[in-house]
Amino acid sequence: MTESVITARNLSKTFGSFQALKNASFDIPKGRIVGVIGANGAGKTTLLNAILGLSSCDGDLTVLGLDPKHDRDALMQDVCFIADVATLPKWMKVSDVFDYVEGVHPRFDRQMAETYLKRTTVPMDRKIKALSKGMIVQVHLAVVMSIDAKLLVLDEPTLGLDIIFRKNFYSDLLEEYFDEERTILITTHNVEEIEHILSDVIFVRDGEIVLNEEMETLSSSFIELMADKGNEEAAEAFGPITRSATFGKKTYVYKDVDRSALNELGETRRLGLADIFVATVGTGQKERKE
Amino acid sequence: MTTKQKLTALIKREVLDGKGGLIYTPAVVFTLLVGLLLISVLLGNDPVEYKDFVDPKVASEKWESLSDNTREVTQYIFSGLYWMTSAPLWIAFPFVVFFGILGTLYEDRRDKSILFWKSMPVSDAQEVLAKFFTSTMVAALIFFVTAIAIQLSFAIVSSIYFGIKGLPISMVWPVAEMIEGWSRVLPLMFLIMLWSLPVFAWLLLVSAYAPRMPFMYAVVPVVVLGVMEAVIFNSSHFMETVGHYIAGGLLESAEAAAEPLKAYEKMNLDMKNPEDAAIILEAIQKFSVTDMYIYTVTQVKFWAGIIVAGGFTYGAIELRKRAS
Repeated sequence: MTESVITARNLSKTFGSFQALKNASFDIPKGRIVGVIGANGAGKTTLLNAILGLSSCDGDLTVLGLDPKHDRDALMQDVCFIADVATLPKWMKVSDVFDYVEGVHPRFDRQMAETYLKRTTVPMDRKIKALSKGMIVQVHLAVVMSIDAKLLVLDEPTLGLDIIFRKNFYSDLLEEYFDEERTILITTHNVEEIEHILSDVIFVRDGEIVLNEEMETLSSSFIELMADKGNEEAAEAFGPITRSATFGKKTYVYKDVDRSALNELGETRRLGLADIFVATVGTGQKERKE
Repeated sequence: MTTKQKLTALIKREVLDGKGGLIYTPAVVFTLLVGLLLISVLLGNDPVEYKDFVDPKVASEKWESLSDNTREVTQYIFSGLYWMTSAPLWIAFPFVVFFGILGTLYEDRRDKSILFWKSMPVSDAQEVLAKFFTSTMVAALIFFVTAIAIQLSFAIVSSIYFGIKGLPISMVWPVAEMIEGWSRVLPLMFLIMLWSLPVFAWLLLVSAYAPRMPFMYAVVPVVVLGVMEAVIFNSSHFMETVGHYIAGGLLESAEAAAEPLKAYEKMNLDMKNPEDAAIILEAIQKFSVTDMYIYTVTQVKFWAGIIVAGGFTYGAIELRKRAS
């Protein structure tokens, strides 16, 4: 059995009367890229904060064998995270950031970070506040990719960046960072952008884990049928989980239904992650590209 | 990676972060003071105003004619005067420490860089203690070194002036007395910091807690408590206690250390008289910072302050753990 990087059992967290996490339980094995998908306020960041030891929650949580709340500093030897593009200290120069990380992180390879940064247009002697959003992410990525960590947590890492930066970010991550010894946990609103790199997804709704599945299983489980006229009744008989109308035809989404049987009733296709999310979570708030 | 390396990186980062107060302020004061001195000398003014020695010939003769004891006492006076040259630095120092501590944990939360710091393998206790240490002890050390640099600059400029005027340069180089002064002031500064620790730790706690305007969160509760006590009980114990930790305790310990000097007060000593000068030198040696420390550690209030400071610092660490 593959070793678990994260083991969570019955995680709960409340803010006043609002319950941000409700008995969330899951395991994340080593060598996976897991997308945590949910609407705004669903509890994604609360979950990540608990995993990173940034906030406490009820229940049992183990990350790389450690309790994140009590052993955050030890955990950070093996965990990297990019919480938001704005978190690099603006008053520092890029070289100061590298100096600092070199001084406190035993697994930081400064030469690797500088090599990575040389391929970009980011100058080492520029202050963070003088860099564009994209450049700041490149600096942060250079830091993170040069740390020999076992778990990388990315919370909306490309928020506010243009499409080219976003594409480069994920391709760099895949090509130069990820391997079977490392695990990546990502939350983002740009679901379509990351679905091709994900190995697993976790859907979160109102603080609950409503789905935790491997991508391969997930994409083969969900089928969309655009039923031919007159086949609506037969289509209903297969028990669709959602219904809608497109170009005057009825469209149905099914889970775990034999595709060959549905092919008799109209045109079928596999669903993208965003559509699966909408169909499963049913919030009616389709994830949009930014 | 050793703890020393980590601590060095943390302190270096803090100095960079607080360079407005820790680097620029002393640098500006240094430049202004030495610049003004140079301008003054270029305009023909006597940098040290030794009125007795205006005529170079008379001055040299007088200086040479002084007894060793009188000359040494004079050197002590000159080395004391050098400390006065850095007075503007010591006026700025409390403000730098006050606002430095107040901003140290608050700014990280305000600009969200706390999330970056927390992504590093540094414990919250290490973070908070490094910040506290830099805002107090490292700040004191930087200002102390700057004060020495100002003294040496004054001595160099004065030497040039004295050289040109044909005055005895050795007058402006009381080297032994200067070094003795530095070796007394450094532990004295450390003692000032120790007495003020509960006040500093309070600022640290506020810095970790205040959602905005940390200055108001630091000052208003103290003032309100003081006013409430005055109105309700017609007393001022709280404000007196605060004052005790800011300056009162230190002054008391200085008074205690100066106790042996009282015997000399009524002696009507004349430093020009070699025998009297010997007594003055004896008196100078009797005032010891060690005695201030000895008095301090025997004070219950001092230890109470240390315990309170420990509590506030612990609170700041706990708040930092919860901040994100």
